[in-house]
Amino acid sequence: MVSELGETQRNDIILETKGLSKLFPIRRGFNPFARNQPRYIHALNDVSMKIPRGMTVAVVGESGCGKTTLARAITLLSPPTSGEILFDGQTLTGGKVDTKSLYRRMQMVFQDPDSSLDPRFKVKDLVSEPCRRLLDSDREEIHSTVMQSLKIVGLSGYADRLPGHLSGGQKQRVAIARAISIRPEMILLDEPTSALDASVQAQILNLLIELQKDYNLTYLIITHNISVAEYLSDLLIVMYAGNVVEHGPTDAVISKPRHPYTIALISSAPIPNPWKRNLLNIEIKGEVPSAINPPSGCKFHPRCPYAGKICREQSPGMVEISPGQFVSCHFAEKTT
Amino acid sequence: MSPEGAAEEEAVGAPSPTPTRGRLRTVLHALRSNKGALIGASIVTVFVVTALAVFVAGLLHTRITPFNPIQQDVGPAFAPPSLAHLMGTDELGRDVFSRVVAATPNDVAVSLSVIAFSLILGALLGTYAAFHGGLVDEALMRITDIFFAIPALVLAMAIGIALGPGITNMAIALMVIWWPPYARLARGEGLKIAHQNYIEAARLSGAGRFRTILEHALPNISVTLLVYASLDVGTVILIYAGLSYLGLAVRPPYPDWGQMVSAYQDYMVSVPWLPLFPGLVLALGVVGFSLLGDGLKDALGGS
Amino acid sequence: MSLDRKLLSISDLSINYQTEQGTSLAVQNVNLDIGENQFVAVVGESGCGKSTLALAIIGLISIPPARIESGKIGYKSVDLLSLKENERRKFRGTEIAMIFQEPLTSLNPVYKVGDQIAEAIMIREEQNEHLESAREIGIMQKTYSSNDLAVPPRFHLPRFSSSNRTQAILDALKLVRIPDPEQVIERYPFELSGGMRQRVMIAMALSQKPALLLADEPTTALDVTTQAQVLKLMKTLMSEVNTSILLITHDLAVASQVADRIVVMYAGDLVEDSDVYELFREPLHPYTKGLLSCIPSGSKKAKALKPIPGTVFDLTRPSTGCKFASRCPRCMDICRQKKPALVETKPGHRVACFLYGE
Repeated sequence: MVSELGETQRNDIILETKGLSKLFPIRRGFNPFARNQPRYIHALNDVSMKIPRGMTVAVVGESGCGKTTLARAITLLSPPTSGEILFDGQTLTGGKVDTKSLYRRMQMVFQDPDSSLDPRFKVKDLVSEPCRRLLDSDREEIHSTVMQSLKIVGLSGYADRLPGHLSGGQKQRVAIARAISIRPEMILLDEPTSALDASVQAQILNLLIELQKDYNLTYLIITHNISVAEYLSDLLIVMYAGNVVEHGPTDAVISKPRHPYTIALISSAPIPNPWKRNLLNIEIKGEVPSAINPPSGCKFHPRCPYAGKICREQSPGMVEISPGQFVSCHFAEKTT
Repeated sequence: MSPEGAAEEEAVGAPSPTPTRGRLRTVLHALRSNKGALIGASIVTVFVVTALAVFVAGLLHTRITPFNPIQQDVGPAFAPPSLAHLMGTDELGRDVFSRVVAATPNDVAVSLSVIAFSLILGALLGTYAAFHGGLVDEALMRITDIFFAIPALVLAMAIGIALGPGITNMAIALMVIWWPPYARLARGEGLKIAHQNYIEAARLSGAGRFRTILEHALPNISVTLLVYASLDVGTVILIYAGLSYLGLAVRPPYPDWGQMVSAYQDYMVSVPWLPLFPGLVLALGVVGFSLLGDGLKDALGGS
Repeated sequence: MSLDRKLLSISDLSINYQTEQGTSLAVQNVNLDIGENQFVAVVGESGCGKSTLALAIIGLISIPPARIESGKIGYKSVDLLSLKENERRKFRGTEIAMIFQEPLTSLNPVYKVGDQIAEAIMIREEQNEHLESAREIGIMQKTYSSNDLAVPPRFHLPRFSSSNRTQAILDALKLVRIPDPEQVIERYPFELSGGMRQRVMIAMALSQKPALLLADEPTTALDVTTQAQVLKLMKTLMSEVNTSILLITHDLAVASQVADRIVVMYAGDLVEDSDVYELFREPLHPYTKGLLSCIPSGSKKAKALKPIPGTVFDLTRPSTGCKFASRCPRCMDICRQKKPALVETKPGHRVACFLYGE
């Protein structure tokens, strides 16, 4: 596939989105008096990002920020309404896409381990499904792939189990084994450890790091947990109400957040340190806005301590506030 | 977002080293402990075995009944039940017991085939509509609405009269009207799971829509459908008996329970056992299937 | 702390559950005291017994399948476990209140929020009528702090007229800093966000001015920023309403941010109990240390996570030694043979581990 980017650039960016938007139409009843009712849920708004190969990018945000919608748009489970997605230079949007060849290279691990495994399938059949459908392997190859994948995630004896007999952590391992069984280049993980206990979460996080090293994987991790994002990721993207508000190298964004929302988000994250009780000092007010009738201009302005008149009127553009760190805020300079 | 079992104290932890018994064994175990289900199962077994025996005997040109069911004057007419004639004889001297037994395959075959057809067609249509959505879904809903608006027996009669009498035609008539509830049920269940993560995971594994429905959706909704079906068999038997009573199914001299009730009801006052026996057997069949269905519901509902 | 300032005194509490897989020892020989105006966090992973403990305190455990094998739950010198249900009910809501994880299922969806708060307040009115019997049981020791003049004393409220009642409802909502309380009263639970619903729950729980508030994972289902707001609110209210809070959580980081004291549970056992600063300065129990090294903080290059090896203890298997033995990096022979007792190594710091004496 001939790409538009140069040869060296093509190797750098494995996934790129340009102006991705997703609107969900609201089904209205037939009501002649309801003429000016809102018609769409604005789940994603003009999301643009570049994911370099081999790195881990975390998308953080709270409910309603659109991060799950983003993951489902990129994997084409719920294609975007507008905008472009480029996977390794190849356009995924606009027209027929060979999903089978896409899924050979891009896989996903879902949020809820209980619902991401068909309760009727044995572990080995779950893990072998991508191989069976996406590759042309014969039975023996599939069998050995499955056994190897299970071994990699530490579930060697579990091939004949049913999901109902597994713990949450084990189920998530099965989901990971399934995702890596076909050796994809990129894996999206939607809240991979949110439903797990602390010690299990630690095991899974370490497993993910190991797998990335061994198989040169690129990760896109969706999470609301800042600590997990900080631990795993090299680049951080912060989303609020469907928009990207800030992005940049993880350590920069976390140590010096510039967007007022990012500042509030980072300081709300509980850290295991009783001498640094930032949690009790936060001053954020209000709630996440409605996705149907979002605020005008910058969506964060009703809750923002720095908000000015322009914030109500105009949505801010993305500005590079420091090398590699981008913010979408009219008053970004003032927020140190 | 809650951690596993955070608010519940269950004995979760290291799963047992030996795999626990599979679903089938669990269901059988549950059925065994349910008295109603056991009774139902025995009745159903008797009926099905008898039906098979009669059918096979027919193929081999023999019979398992003590007398030929259509032969007249094997005993005095209107003879009361005795050792020779367990259910007595009818107005033409035919052995009622032989007739009742010989009629078993009709009801059993019709009910099971109608249910099987409805189950398969309804499941496929319903899940496809659930997964496809849009116009297909709307169309299916409106079609089933039409069928729901008309009473089953009336519709079956209308089709039966159009097709002409006969057991096969009645079975066809019933099949035509019986599948909509299954489609609705399957659609409802399908909607519940259509957005489950494992369905989407199947998509990411390269499964096409049809394959996803076949391999992932159907097995997971099968429980609800099977429970409904098992309780429904009795209803088919009754409706078919109604059609048979109206003379639309098997024509005399061949025996059929509903038709026998209709034929013998004139003698109700003087010879009460005549219409009673086929009626009782009908009732027993319905009760048996219903008990089994109930037991299945309890057994599968818990798991 | 001296005996008469203890609010809650749990001694040797053991609770079992009858399950299909056998008897699950949910809580075993727990000894715990909570004083007035204390914020105590009970931390542990799933199956450790923390929720069972809370439910036992407030008396909402279903018996069967649960069974209280032994122990006492002393509240202001009354053993709650010895009371019959109708006497127990007098304490529920008025003295001890509880909020749960998912407010959507805790609030009745078909009643307006205002009506539900009114119900909570009205129940207290009824309880006031049982004041006499309360005196008989002997729980009338109550002192009021001087700065809560706006808050009526616990047991001396006048009978409510309807305007009084509305005012009381609005006061309850204002207490939890809900914006536009007049409008919120008219709303149904599904119209509110998760954070608002949880505030309403807190309002209902605190409207009866309990001395002890139990909170079972109250913020786990909430967004991070909302969680911070709710936790901050709870901490503020603790001093305003003069109540103690027992917070059940799996999140040690959250506990460290708000609690005065942390109690660590593992597989039904209380393994460590200490002042929060002391716990982080010098954690004693190997499980506590393991938990601490599991929490991601900083990038993977900075601090690698060290997960605790093995899997959670199976509660249906009887154990002879310490339940953590098979996963413990410092396990000794005696750990497999005998169960370690809870020992106070330093004032205010208890630990159940043979590394620190018998």
